[in-house]
Amino acid sequence: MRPFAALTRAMIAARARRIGRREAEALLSRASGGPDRAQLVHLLDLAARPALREELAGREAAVAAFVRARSEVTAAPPRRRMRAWLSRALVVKAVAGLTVLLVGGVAVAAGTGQLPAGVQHGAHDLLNPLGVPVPDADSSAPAHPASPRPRTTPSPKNSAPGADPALPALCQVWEAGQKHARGKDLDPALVARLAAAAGGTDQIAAFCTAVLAPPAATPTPEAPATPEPTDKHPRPDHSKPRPSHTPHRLTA
Amino acid sequence: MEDADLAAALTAARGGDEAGFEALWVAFQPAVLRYLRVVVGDAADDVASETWLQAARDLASFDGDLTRFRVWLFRIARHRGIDDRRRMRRRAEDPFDPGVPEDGPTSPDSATVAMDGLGTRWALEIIRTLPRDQAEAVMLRVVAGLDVAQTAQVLGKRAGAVRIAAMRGLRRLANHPDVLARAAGYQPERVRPAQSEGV
Repeated sequence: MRPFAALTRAMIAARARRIGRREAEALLSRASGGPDRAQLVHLLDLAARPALREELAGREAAVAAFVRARSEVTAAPPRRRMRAWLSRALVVKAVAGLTVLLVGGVAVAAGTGQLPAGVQHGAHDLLNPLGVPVPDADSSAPAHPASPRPRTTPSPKNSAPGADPALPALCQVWEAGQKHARGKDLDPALVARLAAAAGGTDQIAAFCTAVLAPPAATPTPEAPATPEPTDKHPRPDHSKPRPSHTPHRLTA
Repeated sequence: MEDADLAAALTAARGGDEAGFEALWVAFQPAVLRYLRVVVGDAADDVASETWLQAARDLASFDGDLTRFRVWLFRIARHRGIDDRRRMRRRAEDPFDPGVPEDGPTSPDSATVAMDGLGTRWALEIIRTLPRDQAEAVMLRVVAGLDVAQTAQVLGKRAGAVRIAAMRGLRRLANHPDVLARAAGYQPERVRPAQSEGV
């Protein structure tokens, strides 16, 4: 049979009988195909053939992607991440609340001067610069008249260098801290103390420059004019031994 | 692979087992790929990879048997295909460009056709000329092996609409000139019957 004749016959046959619902269902479920549907069955057979090798080429890549995806999913499932975030937020809030309570309580107790001596002194050092009037541990101590006075008149030129014998050492620490980590590692109490002496945090740099400048090199009339009774003589040359003052000044 | 084995593979894969996932992939990848070849053409390989990636991510939260898994998987494939067509449209290219297989003539001699994948490619290209709803209905019924209700679930249509679309698709295919021309030289030596996607 010549191909052309077969083609014509097939077309005529196909046109002659349309596929109905039942026949369509039989063809689609691959249950049967009448002999006059051989062409269509052949097409569907080709479309539904068993797997070809080329189609399974990506097998290893697919499994690798599965392993990767699963490890991502199990490493951080969204629900657990949310729970961690929630609990972290709660911890932060709880700590903040406790801190407020504790500091507030200490501040109140300190305001009445009823804390143990060491704590009272710490509270005094911490809270006074913040504008909270807290009596020092020992109000009759000699440090008392020396320290608060110059703080009320924070002019670095005359009052500050003599106000607090620990200031040069504190300034040294402060300047070292500035060079090291831009002051981030500095003890806040130290900064507060310097700020109080200098008249503000932004004044500390100039203040400390003045404090650490050797007055011997510049014998200005201000240096002897400083009315501080505590120290005048050892300052110019003994910039090194001075840190020996700091421990007891800071911790006493 | 038998359905019972595949069901076990599905359970294992849901628990994170690679071998289980591999068995599912081998069983369903050919059908997914062919369905996508009809829907997105040359992008089928990429879209199939995206489909399996999403399946891998979401498998842990999938809850159902093998039948539902088939529907679930082809729904993913369909949505990834829709995304791809949207991308193509945004690139102002013609998404319906049928494209010609690079490594063979469009209508190869039927004697060589059964030897490799060309026959399958040819069949898919013919089915691809159908209107999309008909092409999808035929592919999901014949190649994915879904019944009317499952096909309706994948396509988000009513069962009646799926039946009509598939029947119209078959009518068109039966009258397609290439199908008839090929039938002229077709000897009933028959390709192996391919009911399911067994390897």
